[in-house]
Amino acid sequence: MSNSHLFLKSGFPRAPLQNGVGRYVCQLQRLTLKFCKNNGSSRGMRDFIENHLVDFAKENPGIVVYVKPRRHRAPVLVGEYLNGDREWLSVRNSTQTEISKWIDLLKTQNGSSSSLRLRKMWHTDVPSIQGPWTPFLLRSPDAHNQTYPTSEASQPLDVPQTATEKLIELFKQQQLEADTVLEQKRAE
Amino acid sequence: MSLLAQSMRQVLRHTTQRATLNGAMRALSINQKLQQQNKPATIDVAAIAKEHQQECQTVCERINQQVAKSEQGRLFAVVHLCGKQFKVTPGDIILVEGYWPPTTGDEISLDKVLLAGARDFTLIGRPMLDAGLVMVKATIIEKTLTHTKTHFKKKRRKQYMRINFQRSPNTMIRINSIELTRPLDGMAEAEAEHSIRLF
Amino acid sequence: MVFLNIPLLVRARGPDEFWRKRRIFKLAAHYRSRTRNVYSFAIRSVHRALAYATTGRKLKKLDMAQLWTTRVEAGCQQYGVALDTFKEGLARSDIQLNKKMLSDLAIWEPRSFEALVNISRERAAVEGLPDIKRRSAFNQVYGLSNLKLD
Repeated sequence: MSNSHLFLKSGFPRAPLQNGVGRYVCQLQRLTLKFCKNNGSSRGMRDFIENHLVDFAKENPGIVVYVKPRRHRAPVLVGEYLNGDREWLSVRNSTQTEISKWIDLLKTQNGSSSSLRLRKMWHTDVPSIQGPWTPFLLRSPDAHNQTYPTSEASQPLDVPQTATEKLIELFKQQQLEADTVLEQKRAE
Repeated sequence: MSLLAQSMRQVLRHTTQRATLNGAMRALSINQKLQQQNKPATIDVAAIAKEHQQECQTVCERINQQVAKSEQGRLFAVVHLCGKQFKVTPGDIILVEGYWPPTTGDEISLDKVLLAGARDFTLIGRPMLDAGLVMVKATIIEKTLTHTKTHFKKKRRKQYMRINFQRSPNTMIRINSIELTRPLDGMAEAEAEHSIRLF
Repeated sequence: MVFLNIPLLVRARGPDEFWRKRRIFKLAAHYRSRTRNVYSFAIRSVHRALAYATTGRKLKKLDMAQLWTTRVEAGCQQYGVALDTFKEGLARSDIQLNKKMLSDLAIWEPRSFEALVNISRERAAVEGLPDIKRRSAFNQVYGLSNLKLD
């Protein structure tokens, strides 16, 4: 969807509760599988429940699994997270492998990811160790001790030479040359 | 002809350069010995190398002392991960885009360290620091899909419109610690250039 | 005789009109004026917005690359080294930091960046790159034999 529509929040990468600083804590708390016992659309879900669900529950003792049969409705996966997020997934007509992949996704994420557009791929609390760049980094420390206004700093950096000044300069140069010529002649 | 001219110009440039450099040296009143180094006729490569090596050693020693007293403070490192470079420091979160096998809870060490630094020193790898010199440990904390990106194209008045939706995998990694594992050695670093790495 | 089917089939128009329009209106909820409320206006602007978003994702990468270049250039300019010389010097010293990292270092770790500039400058001077005419008077790069400069 377009980047700025109202129903897609944007944000920066964050992990809830300092996750992973000491150890990793699985954020998925409850997993609800809703399905129909005889409808064709939940065949894959029934397969999953018969073959893999017990193994999944044994492998993940931290996750509570609810199984909820209901008549003539499409199968649904709902995950509830530590931060209060709730992710709802329709798995209508999905196969058993697809469902186990979706469940794996629910298990490994920290909350509902689909609702956040990440603006950066990096987060840090300490951006700078040596101190960030400032305009005064390479300046001489004399600049700090100056009292303003100063006459030097008030001058523009490039004052164009006036015509009079140019003339004076030319005249002086001519005089110098004349002097040297005179000196040479005297030496001879 | 042009080549000749170019070489001539180069020679000229060298002479002027030497003159200016000498001038600079004199202005700075640096002793004659240092000035000698810039004259190719009397250059003593071995002596210079020895001098540099000594300086290098002292720098390394100072770093080692700091690390031994654990006064170096917080370290940062530039790591290369999945084709991208990240500047990380302990406690950071970085994201790897695209398919990447490790799963949540895995503890990994990021070995491709291009640069490591602290408040007072920087270790620069060419292109990477020696394997095992800097340990960057990380934990994988999340594997998700991105938000749905809509790939939409349309051409006006041409009855052309395409729409596709895609979500790609994302992996979130927490940096746990960055440590200097062993003291630096200026001599060894130069010699161990051909150490065997798998990557 | 009443024809029920054929005229109805002629009028059959894909998925439910309400939901189809609602999908578009949802994206146009924050637009101003009639583009928010009138479907024929809304769909035009939503299509345009989606197309912009698609191209924008590519443009963002280019823009960021440009920004990094500018920052690195400014970073080495303050030490009097041109960007090309700096990059060439780094490449010849086999330092493979990318633009993003260099610009990050220039801003957040200026001392490390200074070290990189010094190394690159030394290398440029030794290899005789056109910009650098001489090695710095205060040679701050130690362990030159490590760098195999001479």
